[in-house]
Amino acid sequence: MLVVKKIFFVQQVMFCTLVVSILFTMSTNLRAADAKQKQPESILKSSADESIKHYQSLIQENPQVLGYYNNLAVLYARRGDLKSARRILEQGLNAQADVATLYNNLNTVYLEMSRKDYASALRLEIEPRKVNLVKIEATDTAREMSPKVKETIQAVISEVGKDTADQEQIINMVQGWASAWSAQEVDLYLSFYSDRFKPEGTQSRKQWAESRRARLKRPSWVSVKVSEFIINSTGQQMTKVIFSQEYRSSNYSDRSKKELLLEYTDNGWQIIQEHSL
Amino acid sequence: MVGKSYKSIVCDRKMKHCTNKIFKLLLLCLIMSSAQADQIQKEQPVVLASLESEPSLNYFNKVDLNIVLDSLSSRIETQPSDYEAQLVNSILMFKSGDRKGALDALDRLIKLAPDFHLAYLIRGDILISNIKVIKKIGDNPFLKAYANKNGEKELNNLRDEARVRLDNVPYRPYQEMLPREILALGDDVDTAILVEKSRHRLYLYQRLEDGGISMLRDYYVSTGKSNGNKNIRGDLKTPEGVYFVTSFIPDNKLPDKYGVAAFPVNYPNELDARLGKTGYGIWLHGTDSQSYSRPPLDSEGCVVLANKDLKSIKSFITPGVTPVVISEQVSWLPQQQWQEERSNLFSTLESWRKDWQSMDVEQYLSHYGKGFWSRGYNLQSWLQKKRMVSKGKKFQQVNITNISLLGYPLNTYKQMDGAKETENSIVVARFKQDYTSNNFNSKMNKRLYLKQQAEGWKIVYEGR
Repeated sequence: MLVVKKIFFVQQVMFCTLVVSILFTMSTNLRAADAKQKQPESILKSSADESIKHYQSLIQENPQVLGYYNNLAVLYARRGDLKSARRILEQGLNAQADVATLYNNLNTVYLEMSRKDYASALRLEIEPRKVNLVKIEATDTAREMSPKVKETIQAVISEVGKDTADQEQIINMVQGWASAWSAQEVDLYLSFYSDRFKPEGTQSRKQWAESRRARLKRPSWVSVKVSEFIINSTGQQMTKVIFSQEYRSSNYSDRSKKELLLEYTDNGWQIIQEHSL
Repeated sequence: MVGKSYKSIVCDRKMKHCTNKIFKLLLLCLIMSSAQADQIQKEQPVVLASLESEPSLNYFNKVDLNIVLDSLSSRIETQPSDYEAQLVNSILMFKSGDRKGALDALDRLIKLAPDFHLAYLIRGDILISNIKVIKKIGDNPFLKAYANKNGEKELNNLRDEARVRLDNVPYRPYQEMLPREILALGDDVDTAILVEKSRHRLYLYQRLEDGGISMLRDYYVSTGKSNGNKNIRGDLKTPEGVYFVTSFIPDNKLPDKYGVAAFPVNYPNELDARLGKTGYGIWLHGTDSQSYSRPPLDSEGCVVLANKDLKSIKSFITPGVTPVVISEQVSWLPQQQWQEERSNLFSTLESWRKDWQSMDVEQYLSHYGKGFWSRGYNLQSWLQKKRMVSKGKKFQQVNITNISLLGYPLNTYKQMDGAKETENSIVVARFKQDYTSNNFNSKMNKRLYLKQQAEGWKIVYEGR
């Protein structure tokens, strides 16, 4: 009996040692990570306030240069002002509307590739389809970020945490919605709307879906570009997103501001209200 | 380009999340392994993940991811043509946030196996996942729009296939255990095939120098359209039992739908015939040249491998020699129990041989049990014949070599005599028998069916 107890005790001790050593490794890892983030960046040598002002004016003059937003965010983050860092990083990403266009186009390409894969999987013959990608008219020269800057921006974003992950999901969702519209894939397009979606005006949900189906299919081609997102969380499960929508098609084109009210469901973010502003 | 930079930010961040998760997993594993050490030495039965009704890209949440990763890396390393492992690997990459890596892996796979339709389905899902949240495989409104036309059946087949294939990745009982279905292989038998119907898995076993066995490779297989054990002709079921490959039919003599080769087995065997089972033409064969993918329940009773898999297994099969044991669920035994079972049967055979040689005819005949049959004999007439024969013997010598012992699936023999006995397992023994006596000599391949009865293992069938 005593022997058994002894063995048990030894095992307990061993187990505790193990846990302690794991926790120790964890904490040292965390500390190492912290130290890395706090390493001084030699981006600017002058005082912080001056630097911030300097970058703010640079952004006003050159809103296309992503690096200025980034470096300003670095300065805010260094002061511990994550809120401002986040705001500036978001502004930077939105200002760079070209990025959004690339995303739009990439989604459209994915969609068409996926269509082909599904046809292969199900052994169906499909007609080849023309893929309409959104063109960027006057291309501003965009600068590649240095790896060092990338590292910093990553550190900032990961501190901002969950909110940014949600934002990314929301932007993906809106871009997906636009891609489905561009591809005139009505079923996919409609699947972005919640069952609880309320159409504007007097139409019922069902009537609305039918009229959308007809509308989406009517033009011979459609291209919808979305950019300049402003995301406002209105609760844990609800978000409002405002963005520019550039609609072009074989028979009509326009540019407008749109507002979507989104709800988080098991199937990701879904639209429950849609307004043109 | 700026687009690229933004993308890499996103990726890196996901990587970080991922490393965190892996760290947590490792921690969990360490705690679990130390907890295991606390347990007194006791064989724990392997807990199997239950079959999912819906194949999901998040499937591996439910099982230990480390088992899966470990299994996959060894499979991909040792078998570059293991397309299933490559497919699952790409799903895992996607799950860990490496969407680009997953797509690259699928591109490579589809280049290697352009007839693997399930890979297209998964790639389609991953491509569209940027736009829509994809949880279940082959389940999104975009795809449904196509499937409604005439691909619905095809889609359901692919989803069934996905479910079975994914479910088997963490299922690796052969690492720790041995199948009761293969207890020994004779010196002239290099390999044996074991089919587990419920898992749609074929295991290729090889004989080791020391007399043991080890699993070489396992494959996904399709079996009969109907579930259950074959009874009558045309019931579309795959029979369960101990069979042997009887012949080989090459590609040029086969219609395309049977693939590149076929190996017929001896269904109905002695026991099937005695139980009055009917039907014929149970083969191990390939798929038509258009498909690597095939639904789990798809044949008329045959065991079907993809052509590429059949080609890789072909050289391990010898007609007239290679056993094919088909079981609904394999009885996986811990090594020690497998050894016990095996040595019990070896000593049963040895005492049968000795008693036969010893001229004590009643002692020899005590090895034959209730329900015995042989071609043209029942137990009584057999005993009578043997007693007669023994009268003319002055000496006899019996040698048996190259012993194979193949266990009958546990759920099949209840049909034999109403399942009155609690321990009624059957084992088929096949060996070379060299008989010498004063008035008769013979050399032959012999087949015995041994059954565990109240008094121990008894012979219930003897034949060639």
